[in-house]
Amino acid sequence: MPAPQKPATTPSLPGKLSTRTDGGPASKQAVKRMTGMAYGQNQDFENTEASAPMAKATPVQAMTPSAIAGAAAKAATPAGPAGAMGAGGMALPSLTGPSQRPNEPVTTPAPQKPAVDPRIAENATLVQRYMPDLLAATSIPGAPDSYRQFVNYLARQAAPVLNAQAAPIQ
Amino acid sequence: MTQWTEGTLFDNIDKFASALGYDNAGVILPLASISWDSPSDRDAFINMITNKPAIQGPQTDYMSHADQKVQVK
Repeated sequence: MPAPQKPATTPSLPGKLSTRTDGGPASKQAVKRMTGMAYGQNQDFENTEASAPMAKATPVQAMTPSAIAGAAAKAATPAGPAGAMGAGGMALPSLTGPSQRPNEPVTTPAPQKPAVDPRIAENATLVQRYMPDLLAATSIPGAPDSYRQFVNYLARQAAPVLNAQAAPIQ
Repeated sequence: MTQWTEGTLFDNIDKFASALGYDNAGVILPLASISWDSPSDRDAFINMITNKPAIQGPQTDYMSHADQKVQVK
């Protein structure tokens, strides 16, 4: 342990008015002793550590309650004069701001997009190609109702898709 | 016009549509296009892949059966 550089010359006062008698905080961190070493084997470590002392740690300033409240209020407002904008032109929420869905549990899964059955488009392609023949077969004497119903189902399912394909491109 | 005949393309379509469901037209039409040796071979295949016997012969009372297959979304 290095000797104090500025020893106090006056008696220390109690509490807040006290003055340090060890010369003040050192400009370097003190050598820390390693524990658990065998007798006499710690000297090499201390010499090595003392040859390159670490700079003193920056003292941490404790925040007052008013400073904490001010920082929280600042974080709750959108960043910057115009606010951070997302890809869709919407203001991005703050990471530290209040929840935009306070009543929703964090484990709630994201809403799923409506699934589009790929078979509908596939059926529409088949209908477009084979519907004339399929329709002609419905008029065969003895054609079962199930076949007619299947053809009607194909036509009904494919109609929106075919209409969308036939619509002129804007 | 000829009569509805067992084992023709449209009969195959009917059988596969009834067995596999109307939504699966993309599978029904290729399977129906296969040159099956006989309707019994086709029905055996349907029985194998669906674990249910194929509906035999032209029928006109399919409505209740077909209603179960149609799943309108």
